[in-house]
Amino acid sequence: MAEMQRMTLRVSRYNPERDAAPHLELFEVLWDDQSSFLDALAYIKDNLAPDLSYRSSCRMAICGSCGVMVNGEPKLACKTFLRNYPEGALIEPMANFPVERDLVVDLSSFLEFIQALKPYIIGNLRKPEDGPNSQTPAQMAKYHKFAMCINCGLCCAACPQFGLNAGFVGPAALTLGHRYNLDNRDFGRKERMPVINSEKGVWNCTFVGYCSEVCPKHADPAAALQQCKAESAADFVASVLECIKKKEARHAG
Amino acid sequence: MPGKRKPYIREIKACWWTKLPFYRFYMLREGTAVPAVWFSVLLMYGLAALSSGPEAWACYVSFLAHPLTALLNLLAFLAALLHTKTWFELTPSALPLPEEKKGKLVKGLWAATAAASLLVLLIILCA
Amino acid sequence: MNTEPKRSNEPIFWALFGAGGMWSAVFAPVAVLVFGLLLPFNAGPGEAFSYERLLDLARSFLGRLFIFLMIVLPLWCGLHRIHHCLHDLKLHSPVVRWLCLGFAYTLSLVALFQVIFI
Repeated sequence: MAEMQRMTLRVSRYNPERDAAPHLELFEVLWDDQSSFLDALAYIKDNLAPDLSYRSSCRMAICGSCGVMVNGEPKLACKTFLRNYPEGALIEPMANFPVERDLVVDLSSFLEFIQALKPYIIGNLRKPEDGPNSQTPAQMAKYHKFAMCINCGLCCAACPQFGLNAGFVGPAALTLGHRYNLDNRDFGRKERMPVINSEKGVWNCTFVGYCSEVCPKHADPAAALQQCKAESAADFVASVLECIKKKEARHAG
Repeated sequence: MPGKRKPYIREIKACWWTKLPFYRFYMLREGTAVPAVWFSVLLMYGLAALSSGPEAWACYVSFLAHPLTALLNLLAFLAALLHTKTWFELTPSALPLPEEKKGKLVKGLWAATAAASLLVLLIILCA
Repeated sequence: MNTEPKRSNEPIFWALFGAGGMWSAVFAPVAVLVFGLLLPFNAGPGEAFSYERLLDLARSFLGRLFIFLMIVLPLWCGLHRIHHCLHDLKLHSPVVRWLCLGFAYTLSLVALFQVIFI
């Protein structure tokens, strides 16, 4: 087995009962070629600071719990390796979210925003006895990339607009909403468009594109949001036409 | 039980975009808008000079030939090229196209730009 | 959460931004090259950049249309971006928005008069 090496990590600490603001603490960790940042955090908790708080679960990039900032970039701790940071690294809680304690952030607004976009099939009246819905490969290809989302929140930590604009539902929620709008088994577009069209919706996006860069599942939220903009613009035109029609009808009647 | 929560909200400073190369390039991309607006205003000035007569026009041309104006226009040219490159790179993601068609679209956009540029050069330069 | 949130009017300006961005991407490099860098140094054959010839070109229908679009579309694209950039720099207020869009609107009107009455 290879010899373990030593590296200094700077970790953001915040204890709400004691601290006015987060501060950095230095830890020397042992690592080898296979050590992830999640391993390093576990090493710190086991050996150096038993009170260190961080979230994690699957340690294999599917649960989406262990998002942190490594040197200012949003990363899943389990999917990021110390070998790529030989000079050491700075670990902070995910940007753009309130810090609950150490590396744990408050995701309640994030979850609320996802709920607002209703990311589930709506209005499909098919019953079990009718058999499964049919979907061609081409129909699935439309949304498949966007369905890769694991709700880790890295895109929101990468999005300056999510941080700057209070109330912006953010790239994750919009990508999930768009994913269902593109699904031929779904009929819920009418319930999702008002949120997408609103001042909390897709128009906060300026296509920075960093969300797609950091997404650990390559779900490409930036692309989903640009498509959302096109749909929202079409919806805007449709609403104007409808308004004109209504006025004409009132005039005639 | 009374909560011990005291979520800490980190303030975002106006210089947030200086922290990562990705953000800096985003600001550069958006910043190409400033030379673009400058060039539009310059064209309006030129149009005004053109309709005021040959003397006003000569004055405008000497303004354009001033080293500082030429330098700004060189910057505007580079900014326009950067805008073209970034715009074409981002265009395919706004459209629900299959991956293999996206490359074709970008090539098509560059070909259209080359053709349009050639046409403008031909019209202006072939007196 | 409010179920019927207010609709954003951004699609109008986004459409202009998109049209302007595409126009700029295709035509701005050659336009800046010709009018900003070749014309002032008369870097063309013969009378290519003579006053009379340019006036004739500008007074043709296609000339007027091209000049109008070349002025106006990049303005709407550019000022949309500048507005959002200022927002990114934490200078966000409705005043900034209306200053940017008002500037684009005013200059567009002026440019329209210019190409009609040249």
